[in-house]
Amino acid sequence: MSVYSKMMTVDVRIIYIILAIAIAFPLFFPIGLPVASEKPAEVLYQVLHDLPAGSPVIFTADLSASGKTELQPMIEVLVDLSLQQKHRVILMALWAEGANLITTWSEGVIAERGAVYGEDYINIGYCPSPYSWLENSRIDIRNAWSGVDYIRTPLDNYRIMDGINKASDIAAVVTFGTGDPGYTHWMQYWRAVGECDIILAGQVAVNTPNALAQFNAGNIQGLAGGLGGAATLEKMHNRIGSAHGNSDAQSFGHMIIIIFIIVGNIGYFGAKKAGEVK
Amino acid sequence: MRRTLPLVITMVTGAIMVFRDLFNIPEVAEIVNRYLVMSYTLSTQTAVAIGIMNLFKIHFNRISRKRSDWQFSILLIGSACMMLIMGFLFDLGHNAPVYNWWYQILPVQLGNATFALICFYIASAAYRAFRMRSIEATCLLLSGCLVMLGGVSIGNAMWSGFPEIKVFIMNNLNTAAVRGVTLGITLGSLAQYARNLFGIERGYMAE
Repeated sequence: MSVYSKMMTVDVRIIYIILAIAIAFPLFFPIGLPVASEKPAEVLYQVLHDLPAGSPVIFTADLSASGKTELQPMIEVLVDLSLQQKHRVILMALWAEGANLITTWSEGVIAERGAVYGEDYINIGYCPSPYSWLENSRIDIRNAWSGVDYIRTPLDNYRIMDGINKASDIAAVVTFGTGDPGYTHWMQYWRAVGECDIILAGQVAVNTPNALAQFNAGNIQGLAGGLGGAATLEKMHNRIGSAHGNSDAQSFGHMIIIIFIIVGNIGYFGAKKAGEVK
Repeated sequence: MRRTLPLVITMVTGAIMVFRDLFNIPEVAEIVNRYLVMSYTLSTQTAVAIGIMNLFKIHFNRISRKRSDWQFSILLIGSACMMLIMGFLFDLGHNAPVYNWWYQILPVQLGNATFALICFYIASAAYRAFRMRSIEATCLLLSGCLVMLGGVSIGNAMWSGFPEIKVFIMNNLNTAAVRGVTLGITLGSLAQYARNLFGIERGYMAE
């Protein structure tokens, strides 16, 4: 077998080992490469930042655990920003998994800010059957599902809920998503019918190309996509965290993939010239 | 009756929803949401319950007949029962700290690990598939590599132009393609909706 053919058929185990080392190295020894800011994420941060104090903002975890690396830093930064700006923070989830995840991922920043449950923030938990919930909340947000929060206390008992009766009372929705239902449904069920003008989306990288088209069309008002979006939010909020650390690992992973693509193509052209492949 | 009743239900409920959205009368919308939309919640939860029962039935069968990998079925039923029982036993159900702890150390970690493994498959697939065999393949390869470099910090460190190229590709080429696909899907959905509404499409009745 010629060198070119070998370059075309590198053993998959070698690729895996090199990739694993390349990804693991910066996780143990962070390099701190500069992160390029992403415009849609900057817009998202600014829109949320500019909402007046007292604005009710929904943070919804329409996600599964697989989005942890990209979405947890976004949730930490944006919930912290909202608490800092004295918004009324409402945590919820359209995905069953999301309820536990947003509770766990936001509890650190909530404790740091000393936010009071029922006054500064509330957690209404998992809202089953998202389509029904989104429909019904346009008329009665408190009773769109069970009328209680995640610790089964009636929503009417909390001061934070004063004046929040239906979708049009909500100033903005920040949806963190790994799939459907997600930002598209908030767009269709709330924004398109004029209930809530501001839909902001934090999405995993694979959702970002589709979400970007909606951002460019003005259907969502801000977008943080993948680790790049999360790192941009961290930079803007002066809270350098896991998104920056993981960006190094992602960089090395991408470089290794590109190097292997180049090696494969050199092998392909060499083998083609030598008449080994058609 | 078995064929006519589902068709009538579909047509009537579809027509009510269209009427509600077209005329936007608050009183009508409230009645529709309270009864019709809520019934959707009930039917989906019923479907989940049936799904769980079916899952148990299949895996109990597999265990009793000792089919291949029946040991995994024990694991599945055991895990599902454990989470179900914890959900029922503890105050606060799935929001109970103990439930949440189990959830965080098992499904969350396993989900993360599975998702992380995709990286290795992507690397291997990209190495084998991205070959400059034609002009189209070359365009795909170049745009892919440029977006990859522009989206990570090492690309920005190498040359500040990479993020700008990525933004150009994403905002112009990607957005145009996504809009085209979305438009196609939407028109297809509308056509499918009309077929369901008028009883032309009967696939949902398993015909």
